[in-house]
Amino acid sequence: MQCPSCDFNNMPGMKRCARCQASLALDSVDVIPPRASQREKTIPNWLRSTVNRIRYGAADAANDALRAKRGEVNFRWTLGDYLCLLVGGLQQSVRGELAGWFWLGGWIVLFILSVGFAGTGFGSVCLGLLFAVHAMSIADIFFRQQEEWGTRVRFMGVVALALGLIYGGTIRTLGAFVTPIRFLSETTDLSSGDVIWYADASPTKNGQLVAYDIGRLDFSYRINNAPAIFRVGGTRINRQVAEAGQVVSWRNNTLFVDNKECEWQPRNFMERVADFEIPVDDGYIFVSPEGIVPENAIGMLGAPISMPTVTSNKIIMGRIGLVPKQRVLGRVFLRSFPLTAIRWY
Amino acid sequence: MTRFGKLEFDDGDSLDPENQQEMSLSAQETETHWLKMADSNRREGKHENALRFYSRALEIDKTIMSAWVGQVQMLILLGEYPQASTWSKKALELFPNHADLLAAQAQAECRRGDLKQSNHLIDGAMKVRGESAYQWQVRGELMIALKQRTDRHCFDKAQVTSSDSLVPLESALIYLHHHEYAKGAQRASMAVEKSPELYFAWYVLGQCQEGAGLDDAAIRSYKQCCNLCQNHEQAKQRLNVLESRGWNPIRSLGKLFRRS
Repeated sequence: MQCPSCDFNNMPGMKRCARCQASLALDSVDVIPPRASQREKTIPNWLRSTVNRIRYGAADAANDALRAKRGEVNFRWTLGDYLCLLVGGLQQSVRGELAGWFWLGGWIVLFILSVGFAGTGFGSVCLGLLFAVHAMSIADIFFRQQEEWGTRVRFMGVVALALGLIYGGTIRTLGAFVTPIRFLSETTDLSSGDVIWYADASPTKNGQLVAYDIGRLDFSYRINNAPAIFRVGGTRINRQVAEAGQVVSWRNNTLFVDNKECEWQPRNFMERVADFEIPVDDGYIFVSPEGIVPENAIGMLGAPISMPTVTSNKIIMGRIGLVPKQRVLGRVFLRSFPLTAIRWY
Repeated sequence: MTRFGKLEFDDGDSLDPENQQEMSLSAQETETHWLKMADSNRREGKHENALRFYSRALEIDKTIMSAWVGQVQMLILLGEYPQASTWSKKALELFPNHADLLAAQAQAECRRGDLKQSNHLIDGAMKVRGESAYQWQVRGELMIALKQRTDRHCFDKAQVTSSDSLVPLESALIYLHHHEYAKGAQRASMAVEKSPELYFAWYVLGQCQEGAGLDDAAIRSYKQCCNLCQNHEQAKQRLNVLESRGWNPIRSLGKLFRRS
């Protein structure tokens, strides 16, 4: 029996060629090749190839003698390459370049720090560095391909613009839902310097911490017969204790909602506040007022959101607790900084 | 014919009526005839048909090496890389250490992304005595995948080894697969110079020129393809797209950063 591969004459009945080990069982050989199913064909080749490259190892690992020099790497604009550019250093990592792992590692660390410290100065610095590392990782790819500085500068201009749009767009889009702010006052729940996140425009309920903008409140009063102005303003955070339709009252140093003792009582400075009873109108919520106005304030200027009333050296604080719904920024759901005090609300 | 029922038939790439008639009438034809048919279809870019004709030849004689290699090559050109890899392994059981089969497997592995395995295989193929154009082509493709600049040398060697116009044509297809349009256009031009009547070479040239942003040249190539083959739907389609194409900012941006 002659081997089809090496023409060696084998003994009859042999299954493999004695010389070259080729199969001699030609009769059982199928000659119709297998074909891929339609389902498999729907997976794009670039995706399959990219996944396989990651799975099998990178080009650099293929052979030391054939290792691609940095200056000889082609820059091929495939869809996969474009997508890889969205993460700093990912493209180089996929191509198996050692530098890519440094870029990618740096990018990931800065990304985590930027998110973890969002709302703080350090977080902003990290975000800036993240942007810079991302842009430099792209420049690293392109500068190897293009030696002409004019083109390099043009390219980096477009990259900076595109990245700015991507980063700005992402922050803006996320900012429509959640916002981190640094809180600079003291409340029952928060300390000055805490970074809190609030969910924008989400409806608030009693008992929830709400962030609201009180605009600017100016109180003029006199200290030792000299005129003085007490000013408060900006974003504040307090707990919502009543909503529209309910009646809030302050009696015997206790806060009542609909004549039931409120679960969330304000702090003890309210002892100096005169009794009051205020219905919460439509379009308002009532937050627990805490330490806004000094005891001897006698008036008010500017454009307040609600008007405190002074009665015989005591202030009816109730009206300060009324906040128009359009001034409510959202529900506070997370304290992300300091790291030792991370908490979900 | 029943065995051919296992094959998948794509609408756009089904057998020509002429070929169907020929297949049904020529059951008594020899393997040489089927190999000739396969070769002719391969030159015309009808890889699905060529694959079937190679299978037909192997049904008559399972020891035809070129048909086994041709089958694997057609599977690769059809984008069926895992199947090409499997089939080349199967063929290598019949013909162990055959250089072209090793090269074919190397090409399939290269397309699948396993460059290390591909490198070992092509090294093995090159060690076998005697060299073929195909081995050099696969070596060239691996160089492209490894981002080496020696790919040109490999494809030049392939053309020195064989003066067939199919060599530069399939080299152009390799470049096209790797989006190296300018280099692909160069190879396709060589194929066109060698066989100006080969309409598929004009079509490949048009694709490369289109990819390289040379729209006017691509239109000319597609028109030439359509002149040589009136029924070439893909060329007509590309022609329509190119002729109706207006200004596109993304394309302009792409041109700005395209490597020369």
